[in-house]
Amino acid sequence: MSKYVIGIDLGTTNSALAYAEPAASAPGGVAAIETPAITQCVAAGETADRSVLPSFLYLPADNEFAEGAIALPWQKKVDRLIGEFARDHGGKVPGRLVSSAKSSLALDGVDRRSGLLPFTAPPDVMRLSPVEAEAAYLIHLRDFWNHKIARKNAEDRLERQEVFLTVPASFDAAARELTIEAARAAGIEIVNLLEEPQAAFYAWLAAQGDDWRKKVNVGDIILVCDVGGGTTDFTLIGVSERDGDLDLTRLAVGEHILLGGDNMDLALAHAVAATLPGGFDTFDATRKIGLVHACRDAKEILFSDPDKSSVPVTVLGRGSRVIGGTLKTALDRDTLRTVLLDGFFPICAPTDHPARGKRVGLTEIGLPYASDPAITRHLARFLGLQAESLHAAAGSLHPSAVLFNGGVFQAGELRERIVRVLSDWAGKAVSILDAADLNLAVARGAAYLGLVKKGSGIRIRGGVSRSYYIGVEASAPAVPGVVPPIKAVCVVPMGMEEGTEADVPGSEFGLVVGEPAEFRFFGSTTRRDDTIGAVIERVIPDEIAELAPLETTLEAGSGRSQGQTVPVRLKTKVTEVGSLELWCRSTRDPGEWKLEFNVRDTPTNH
Amino acid sequence: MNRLLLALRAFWMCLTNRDLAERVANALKPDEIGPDLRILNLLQRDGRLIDFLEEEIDGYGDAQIGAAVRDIHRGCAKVLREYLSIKPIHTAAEGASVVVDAGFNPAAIRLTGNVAGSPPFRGVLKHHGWKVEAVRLPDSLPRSGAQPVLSPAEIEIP
Repeated sequence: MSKYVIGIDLGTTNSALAYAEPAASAPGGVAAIETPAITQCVAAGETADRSVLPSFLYLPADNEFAEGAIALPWQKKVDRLIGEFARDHGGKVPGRLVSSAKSSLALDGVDRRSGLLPFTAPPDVMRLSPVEAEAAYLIHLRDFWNHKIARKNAEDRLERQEVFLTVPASFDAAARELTIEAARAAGIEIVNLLEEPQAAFYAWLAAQGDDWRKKVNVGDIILVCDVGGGTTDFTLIGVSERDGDLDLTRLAVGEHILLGGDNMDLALAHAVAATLPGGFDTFDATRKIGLVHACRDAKEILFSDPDKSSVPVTVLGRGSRVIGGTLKTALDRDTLRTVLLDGFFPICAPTDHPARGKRVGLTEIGLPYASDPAITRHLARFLGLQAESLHAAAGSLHPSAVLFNGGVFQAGELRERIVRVLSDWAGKAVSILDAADLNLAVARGAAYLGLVKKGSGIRIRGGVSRSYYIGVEASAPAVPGVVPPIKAVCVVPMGMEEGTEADVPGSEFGLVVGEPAEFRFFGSTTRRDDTIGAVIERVIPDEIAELAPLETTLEAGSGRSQGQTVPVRLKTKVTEVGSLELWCRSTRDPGEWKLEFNVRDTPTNH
Repeated sequence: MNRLLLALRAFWMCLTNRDLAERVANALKPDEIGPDLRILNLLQRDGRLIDFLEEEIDGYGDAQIGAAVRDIHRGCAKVLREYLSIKPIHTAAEGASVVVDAGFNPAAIRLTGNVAGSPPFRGVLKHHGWKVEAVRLPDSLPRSGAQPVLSPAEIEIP
């Protein structure tokens, strides 16, 4: 049994680690959750401890740095630079920088186990797969832990501890599977997955102690609004009563929205640069980074000091002429309001939907960035879809309280804007659940779940966050040039609990021995009423999204001849870890074959 | 100092303790020439101090200089705070009457004005002085050398 429980927030832009020692808790109390600062290379020739590990990986060229300049206390020769210096230096050498690896883990239609990153790497730079990049961050955290906390104690090494790894709520089954694969590649044996917004909620529970029961009521719906550096994630948590005590259930999760705080800082930099001769695009990479940093600092000053109407923004001269080359401008409150509040958090109607369509320029890097930057419109769409799905009274769904997560919400004005929009929609005041540390909450919450699992405490129930379907071609007369319609058979109903398994009734398939069989695979975050085995005659793309296909190959083995057809039924399992497994079970003999997520090929039906 | 005992102890500790072995290896390196210039390296890296001091600033207006100095000040101040602990030597407020007792450290306290007789001296604190209480410079930065690099030349490949 592991001595520690470790929560790891493997973020899109920043990763963090928290831990607790269950045995160290006082009787009746809860053990303290620690968040150690993470040792990393912060500049050439300097390692330091920082509260978070930026999720950036830089692939140095041969001889790019002096000997020992990027060494770590536990590693002399470093061929993959990770953390703050990777982020800062990599910004100037984009072709060697891996960023947002987590988002590419959820990227359908590409081989997520092959070398993809950096997307813009020149031909001689080795590319990493999203899984390898995520594993590299975990390996850094592992080695840091083993160096700093486990030291010589083999039993305390991170590989031996129970690790709670957070994933976006919007991650589908294949992306979750790949996350587990990355953890295994880092040697982590006991890994559990936890959704980030839930982790943020656990952190709130941990901070409240027993008082949380006084802050929510039966029937409340709590919106967790998580805007990280690169992604936005919504989750609804319901409060109900069970055996006389309050009970928490995760009701719904949103889709993956690639939009976050970094987009906001970049937008501010563009707005500020518009007042300078030439504008943003004439700057070189170093000055662009400098301007984005300066704008972020100015933004934080304006948000924290409501009396200031404007903050100077300077970017020092690029060459050695520091004074002569300095650009000076200012960020004023009007610009800040226009860009952030009106651009990213506009007041909108509950029926508004985010604009669709590709935004040219932002898509070049390979990730499907959100085409509408308005987080409030994404929120409207999410609540609208879920209102229908949850059969909300009067067709609309109004959260009674909101819990914020992500560094973006350090700004009070942005929190107020979301609350105002939600209150307008609801026609009544929506309260805020106060969160403490917005940057470390997810890691803390993950560690807290570890404590809950080992002792007493409240657990959010919820099970699988979406329903899953296998596509079956409807039997229709073949017409040349017409794609036969697809029926979808529900193989995993939404809410199926961890650690359970079920047979899929009805559909029987014939698999040919020795040949790969492929199944089209679909998921939905809104169709919660479909029971296992239910058949959906017509797949509506808005409701059901196609995911990476599933495949399996039956080994001939004894008793079966090559080319023989074996009738099988499907069986599904949701593991304790939180991953999904689908199996084909022969109806004639005891044979069973696992269906694997085919994340290698480009699906043909995209 | 019993050097034989120390040598034996160092021998044994090097065998058994990796961290200590590294420190001994560092101690055995030939002395590098020149002063420890790491702080200059950091002041240039984060505060552009060398660029600022080396630049001819007579031609610029006060507004132009002021705009840049704010950033340079912020960067350099951050370096001082992060890598050194700088504290006043004398804790009294400047302008206050103070007494200098016998046996004061002449390196830390300088007497001016009508210095005569023997301590204790009574006087007015004109400047509280500065001292470095702790140094936290990164070990892996080059300390010195024949021609120490304070800031590498940067070449952007198009």
